[in-house]
Amino acid sequence: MRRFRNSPAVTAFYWLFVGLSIAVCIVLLRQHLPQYLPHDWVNAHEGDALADWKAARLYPLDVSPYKPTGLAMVGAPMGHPPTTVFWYLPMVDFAKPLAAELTSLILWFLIIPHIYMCAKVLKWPAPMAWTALLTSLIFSTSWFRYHFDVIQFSELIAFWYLLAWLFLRSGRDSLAGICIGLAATIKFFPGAMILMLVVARRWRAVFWAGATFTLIAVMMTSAFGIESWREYAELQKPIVDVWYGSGQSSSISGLLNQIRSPFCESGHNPAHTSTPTLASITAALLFISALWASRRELKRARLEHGVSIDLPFALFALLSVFSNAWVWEHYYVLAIQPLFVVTTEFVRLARLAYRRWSDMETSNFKFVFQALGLVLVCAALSLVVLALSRHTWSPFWYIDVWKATQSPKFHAFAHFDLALKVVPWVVSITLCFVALRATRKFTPGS
Amino acid sequence: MREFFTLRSEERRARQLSDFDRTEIRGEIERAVDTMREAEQAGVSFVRARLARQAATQVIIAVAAAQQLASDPRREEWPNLEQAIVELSSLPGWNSQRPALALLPGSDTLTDAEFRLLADLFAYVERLVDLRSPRDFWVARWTRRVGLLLLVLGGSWFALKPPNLARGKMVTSSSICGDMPDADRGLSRLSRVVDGVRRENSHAVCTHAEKKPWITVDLGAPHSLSKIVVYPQSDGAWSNTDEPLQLRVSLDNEHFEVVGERAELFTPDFPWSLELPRTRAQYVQLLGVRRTAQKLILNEIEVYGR
Repeated sequence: MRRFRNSPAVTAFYWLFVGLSIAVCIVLLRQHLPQYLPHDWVNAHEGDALADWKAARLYPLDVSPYKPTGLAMVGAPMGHPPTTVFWYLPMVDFAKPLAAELTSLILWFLIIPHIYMCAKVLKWPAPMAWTALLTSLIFSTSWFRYHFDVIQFSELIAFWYLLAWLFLRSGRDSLAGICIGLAATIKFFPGAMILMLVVARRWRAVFWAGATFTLIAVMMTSAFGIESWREYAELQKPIVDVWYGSGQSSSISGLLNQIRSPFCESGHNPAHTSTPTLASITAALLFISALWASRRELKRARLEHGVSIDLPFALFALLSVFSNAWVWEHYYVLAIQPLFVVTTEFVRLARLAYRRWSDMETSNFKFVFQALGLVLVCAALSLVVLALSRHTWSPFWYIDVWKATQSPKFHAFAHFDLALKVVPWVVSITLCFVALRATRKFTPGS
Repeated sequence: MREFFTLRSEERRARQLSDFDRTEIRGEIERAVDTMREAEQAGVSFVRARLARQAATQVIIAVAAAQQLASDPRREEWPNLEQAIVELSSLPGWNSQRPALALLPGSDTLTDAEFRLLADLFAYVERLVDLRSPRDFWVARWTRRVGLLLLVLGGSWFALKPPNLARGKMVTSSSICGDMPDADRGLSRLSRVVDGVRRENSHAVCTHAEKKPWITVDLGAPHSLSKIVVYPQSDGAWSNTDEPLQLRVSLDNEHFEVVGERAELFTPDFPWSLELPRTRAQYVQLLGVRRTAQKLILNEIEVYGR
C-alpha cells in the first residue's frame, strides 16, 4: 500500500541508495573525467558539428557552403542541411577552440537536466541520486566520449525531444511543436514525429513545428540561395556511398546491410549493399504498426489524460531515429527518455499485477505467467545496459583479432558485439509495443 | 526472531478483516494519501488547509471503520468523524495527537507548524491498520527467508573466495611509457595495474618498446598461488599481446621460475588466465621475450591464492 510517509526501513533504503549513488558517481567521475577534460580544442574534430560552424562563418558573406568555393572554405563534406548551420550563427565570431569547447560543454551539461527531468517528471524516488548515478554511468561509456570527441548534436536533439514530450504532456501543444520544429532543423529525422502529431490530431503542434522549421529554412535560404538545397542533396551521394553500408550504423538499413553483407567479409565501410527500398518498407511497416498500437493512448492523451502521451511519444521518438538512413553510437542519448518511460511503465504494470494477485483477483497461474513476462523484460533491459556499456570500436577490434588468429571464438564474439549495437533500439521499440498492449489489457478504460 | 520469518501474529491480526473490506479500506486510504500529497504541493494556503483537513478526516474514518469491521464483520455503516475519534481514542499514542485533532473542525488557513501537526496525525493514523492480504504475508515471509539465504550464501562466498593477492601491492617495471595515465590519490602510476579495474578507458600501464620489458608485482610475503590472470589494454586490436610473453614467479626477485608462456592474442573479454599447481612465490613477473624490441600494455594483473 502506498503511504504518505515511508517506514523507517524504507527511509533507510532510500538514504542507502542516495549514498551509494553519490559514491558510485564520485568513483566513476574520478576515473573517467580525465578522458574528457582537459581537451585539445585547437585540434578538435572538424568533420561533424564544427563543419557547420565553419559553414556558419560564411553566412554573413552570403556564400553557400554547398558550392565548390564554400566547400573549399569549409574543408569538410557538408553532411548536414542548411538549417543545421543556423545553430552556429551565434558563434560565427568565435575562434575554433572556443566554438568547439562551447558546443561540447553545452551538450555535455545538457545530459544532466535531461536525466533529472525524466526522473522527476516520471516520479522516480530520489531524482537527484538517479541523475548522479546515471550521468556518471553515461560519462563512463565509450559512445558518450565519442559524442564529446567528434562534437555532435545528438544530445541537443534529444533535449528538444524531451521538452516536446513535457509540453505535450501538459497540453502546451504550440511549444511542443516549436521544439519538434527546432529538432528537425538540426537533422531531418525528428520530422517523423510530425506523423504522430497528425494522427494524434495535435494540430497546433503540427502547425508550429512546420512554422518553426520553415522560418529557419527561409532565414538560411535567404543567405545561401534556394539552390543550396539541391546542392546539399547532390552532396549526399558520396557521403551515402561511404557511410550507408557502415557496420557501425545501427539503423534499419544498417541492420539489413549486416544481414546481407556481414562486416567480417565486407570491412568497416563497404559501398552500400542493401536496397534502401527494403529499409523504407520495413520502416513504413513499423510506423503503421506504431500508429495502430498507440491510437487509443494518443486519443486519451488529447481528450482526457495528458500523460497518456508517454508511451506513444517514446515509441515514435525511437522509430524516428531507427528509421534514419544511419544511426551512430552517439544517437543513444535519444533512447534515454524512451527507456525511462518504458521502465516506469513496466514498474507500474508490475505493481498493478502484484496488487491484483495479492487481492485474490488473479490466480497463481496467471500471476506466475505475468511474473515470467516481467523477468523477460528485466533480461531485455539488462541486455540494453550491456550493449550501452560496450566499447564503440570493440567489434572491429575483435574482427582484427579473428583475422590474426582465425579462432571462431573471436569471430562469433565480434558478431555478437556488433549485434549489440542495434539492441538498445530494437529492445526499446519492442518493449514500447509490449507496454502499449499490456497497458491496454490492464486498464480496459484506456 | 521466529516471528520475523513467520509473521504469524501479524497475519492473525490482519486476517480479522475480510478481503472485500480490506480492499475497500485500502482504496479509501490511498485516496486520502493522494489528497494529502496534493495538499503538500498546494501553493495557496486555504486550498492546502482544506485538502489537509479532508485527507486527515478521510483517513481517521477509514481506519476507525477497519477497527470496527475487525471486531464486527457484519457492520455496514462507516462511522462519522466524532464516532471515529472515539473509536480510536483508546489506542496508544492517541493523546499526543490531540493538538492536531483540534485543528480538524476549523475552516481557516493553517500555519506551517499546524500543517505539520496534521501531516503527523495523518502518518500516525494510517499506520494503525494493517491491510496486507494473506498473499502479501506469503511474499513477505519468503522474501525474508530468501533474502537471509542469499545474504548467508553471498557472505560465505565473499569470505571463502581466494583473495586477489596482487591488489594494492607494490609494482615495478623495466620502464614507463610516455602516455601512461596518472594514478589516483597520489599513488604510484604503476599501481594502476593492481587497482582492481579490469576495463580501463585505454590502458593502465605500459613500458617503452624495448628488449625484454618486464612488470613485476611484489606480493609482500610468500604465498601459495593458485591462479594468475592478465588483462591487456582495452583500446586497441591488442597487437602487443600477440607477442611472446612469459609469466614467471620468484621468492627472492632474483631467481625466477617460468610458470606460463603465451604467444597468442588475448583480450579483456578473454584474458590470459593461468592455473598454477600449488606454487609458492612472493614475486610475479610478466616478461616480454621477443628477440626484438616490444612493449607491454596492460589493464590489470590479478594473482589468486592463500
